[in-house]
Amino acid sequence: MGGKTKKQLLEELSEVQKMLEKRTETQGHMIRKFQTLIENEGLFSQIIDFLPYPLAIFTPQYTLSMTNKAFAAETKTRVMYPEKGAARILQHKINDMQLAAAITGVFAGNTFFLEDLKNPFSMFSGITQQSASEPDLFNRVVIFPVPADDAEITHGVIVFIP
Amino acid sequence: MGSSMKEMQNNIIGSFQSLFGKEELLAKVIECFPYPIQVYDPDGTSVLVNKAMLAEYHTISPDMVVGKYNIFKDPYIVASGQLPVLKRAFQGETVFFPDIKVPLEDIAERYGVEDFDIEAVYQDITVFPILDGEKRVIYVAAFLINRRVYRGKDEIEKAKEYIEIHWLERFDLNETARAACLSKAHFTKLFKKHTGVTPHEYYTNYKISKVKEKLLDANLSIAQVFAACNMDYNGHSARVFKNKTGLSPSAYRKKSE
Repeated sequence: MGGKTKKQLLEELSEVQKMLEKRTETQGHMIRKFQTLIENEGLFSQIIDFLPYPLAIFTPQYTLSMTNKAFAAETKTRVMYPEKGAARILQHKINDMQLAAAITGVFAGNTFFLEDLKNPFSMFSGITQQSASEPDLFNRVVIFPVPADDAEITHGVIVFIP
Repeated sequence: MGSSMKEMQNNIIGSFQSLFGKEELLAKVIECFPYPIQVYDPDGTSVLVNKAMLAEYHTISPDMVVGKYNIFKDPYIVASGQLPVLKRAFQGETVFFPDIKVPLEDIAERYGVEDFDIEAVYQDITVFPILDGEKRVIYVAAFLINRRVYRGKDEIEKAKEYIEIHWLERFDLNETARAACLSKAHFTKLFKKHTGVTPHEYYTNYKISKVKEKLLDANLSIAQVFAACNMDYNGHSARVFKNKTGLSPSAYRKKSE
């Protein structure tokens, strides 16, 4: 302590101040996030659930962690919150190279818009039956990443669009 | 003091995660959605907008929209005559508005945006109700997919937009050049330089892309597909199709089955 100059002390104090500010900012962000969740209780899951386009959320291990009603209707499943490993993306069943690249590339933080896909639902395991009326109705997909607070991509989302 | 504060914080986080774990993930999904989403109260007032919506309209903060914007009072929507259809969504029906031109000028005026970096945007808009357990509409959400975006304020984009709107009509170089505000000769040269094809080739390519799209509909005969694209199905049109796609219309349809 005695050996430190005034300048060094000021620098150290400035470091501590920055650290405290950073922590306050993180905590403020967390509080705002929780406030939003409380204020909009249930709204986010309702939007996803009532979205008329099939949507599936998947992990870096390619298991489905959530699907919506439209997905269940299109694939004739009753799976809304698939149990771990119950339904997954089988990469070897993807017959489109761009789609295969997108399913992997989403975890590098990239968003993909693909068109003219042939029967894209065939890549899922654990799906009992596909809607037979219009198998290629949803021939466009958007695949986008969902990062955690630390920016690590924890989930990918695929939305099927007519 | 420090450790008890941290303990309290961890307890709160733990409680929230067990209560809102899934909801937190879904909130992020909505936030990160690459397409604009806006949610309204049953009275039409905006209650939620995602990042993509704010980015597209250059609006800095959700506070400029949430609680302030009311879709039923939007002069552009009122003037468009689409209000009765829109109201059906607020009565529990999903409604679809294809290929709607976004009123960029109105939006710029409303939010004080000085300059959009896009010339025109056309969106497919799906408006769907969110119902409670008793099938009452508690919210209505709009999901907007950009169908065509014309970037840059150049004449070529205007011409492309003109061709894509008038693709069902006979190609008219004079009118296309006029849409780009250029003389015919200068326009043809400039168009080829920027796109690599002549305006007529661009028109033909666009028309063939529409034929390809319609060939996927097995309910239409090949002649009906061509007729729907305002083309006669004959040796010439079949040759044009083959030149552009490498396949005859029937072979293309078979391959797509």
